[in-house]
Amino acid sequence: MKEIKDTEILEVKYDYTGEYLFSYGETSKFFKEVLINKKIYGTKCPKCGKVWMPPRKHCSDCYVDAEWIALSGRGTVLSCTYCFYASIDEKEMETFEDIPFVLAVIKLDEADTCFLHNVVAKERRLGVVKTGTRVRVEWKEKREGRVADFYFVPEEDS
Amino acid sequence: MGVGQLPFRASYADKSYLALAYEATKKALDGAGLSKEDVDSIVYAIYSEPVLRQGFPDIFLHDYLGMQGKPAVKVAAAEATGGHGLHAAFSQIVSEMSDIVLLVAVQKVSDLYNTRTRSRGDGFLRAASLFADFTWERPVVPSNIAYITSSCLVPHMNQYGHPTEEEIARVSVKNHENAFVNPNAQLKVHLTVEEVLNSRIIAWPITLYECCLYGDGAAALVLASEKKARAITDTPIWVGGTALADYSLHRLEPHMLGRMLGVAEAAKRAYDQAGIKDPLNELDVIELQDLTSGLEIIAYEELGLCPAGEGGKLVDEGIVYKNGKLPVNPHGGCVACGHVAGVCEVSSMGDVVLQLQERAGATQVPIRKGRGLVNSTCSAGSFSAVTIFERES
Repeated sequence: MKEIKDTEILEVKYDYTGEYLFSYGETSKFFKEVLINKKIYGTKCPKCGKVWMPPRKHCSDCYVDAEWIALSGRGTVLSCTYCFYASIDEKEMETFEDIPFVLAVIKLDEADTCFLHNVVAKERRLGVVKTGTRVRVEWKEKREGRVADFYFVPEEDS
Repeated sequence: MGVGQLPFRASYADKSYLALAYEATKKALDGAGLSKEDVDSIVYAIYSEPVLRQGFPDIFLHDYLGMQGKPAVKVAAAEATGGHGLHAAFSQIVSEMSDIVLLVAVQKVSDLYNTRTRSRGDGFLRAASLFADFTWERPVVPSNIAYITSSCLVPHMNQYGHPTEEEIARVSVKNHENAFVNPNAQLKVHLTVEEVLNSRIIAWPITLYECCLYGDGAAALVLASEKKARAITDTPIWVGGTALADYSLHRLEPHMLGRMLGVAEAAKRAYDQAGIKDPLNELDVIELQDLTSGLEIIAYEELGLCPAGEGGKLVDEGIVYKNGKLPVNPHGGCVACGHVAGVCEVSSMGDVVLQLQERAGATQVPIRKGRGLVNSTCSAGSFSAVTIFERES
């Protein structure tokens, strides 16, 4: 018998993986338009006129149902950061291998709200994408019905 | 009444979360001269269950802490969990539902792991990605730091030209210096502004030494009604005001960029309760959450210490240093003392209580007005709590 001291600790590996088969519910149209038609849709409140992007089917300000509205996919960078560190080996997230990559607050032209997304410029260098940079949506070949099916590129790159 | 703090560590491999919570609770009860039988109700402040590797940890804690049969509630509000927990505990007292309330926060992070990279940090980042909106953010946002930087810090720098990268680095240097003499601090290192600026960029302009740490820990506080407090101690510290203001930054609108709206509104409400009109001249010490050093400067502005865009001046003029007019984060902040979410807010409250009792040891700052403030906030001022602590004049 080996003597085991009170101060010895034991570590073991443990894996928990949660699987889902989830529905986008009332926002399914957005992702089907992305997946099939390569179109960006927002929603507009019939009462206050606010255009939501990301879309929501209920205007949280007015408590009425919002309506789908096609957006141009063009917008402006309101602010951005250059990420030099990101999650790796991650199935659910994008794998960001080329650094630095740009995470930007983007406001699409027709929208009143903004969102965070990636901007991929031809030149991967600090300062290339900045506040005020005009961007447009670009589509991935392989789409899965996810927000990462598209990204943004500077208009001047095209 | 009673303060229970454990040193912040990267890992407590020798203690389960149950044992950590037990030790903090025992310290807090001992400090108040009470036993667990005196506790009327408990508030468990738990930041994240997936990170802790246990759903419903409050159920298991309740048993381990010997609280069978007593009323308990679990509070979670992201990085503002501690402040929201204090608010819940205080509500128990002022509603006269409880005379003695135990607030206990515990969190372990170091059990997370990524087998392929053999990194606990990568394991944590994966778990932390659960906190982003699964549909719209998680697939494209790499980290909370990048989120905060792009939605708050960079827009603020764009609008005001401040804080500058150097001002941000100086806050980091200040907090590391403060942590150096704090026996509870996790990271003890002297840094220069150049070393901070030249450390790895995590999310431009944020560098490695401007990012909060993560680790394991626990903290507890005992709160008592006025009648009970007077019977227990001659040096009670009172809650002069405590307020919440909760925003979801997931809803990004142009006017919200560059602001910490929750901090500003929670502070205003807490100042109204405490009768504070000029916080810069009416407070002795502030503890707040520098998830990145740049946010600390924006928080000065949102807490009403100076006009918008001028937070950097408080650093330049030495006001927020330990020997300054209003020291901020004398314990070392999240970047150096430690950021065990949920726990560090409660630990900060303990720090301010000890400061006001002039029992803070090497981290002690001069107490002239008898008031201190703790601000806990999630992300960049979304869910936010501000609490004012006072000693008797």
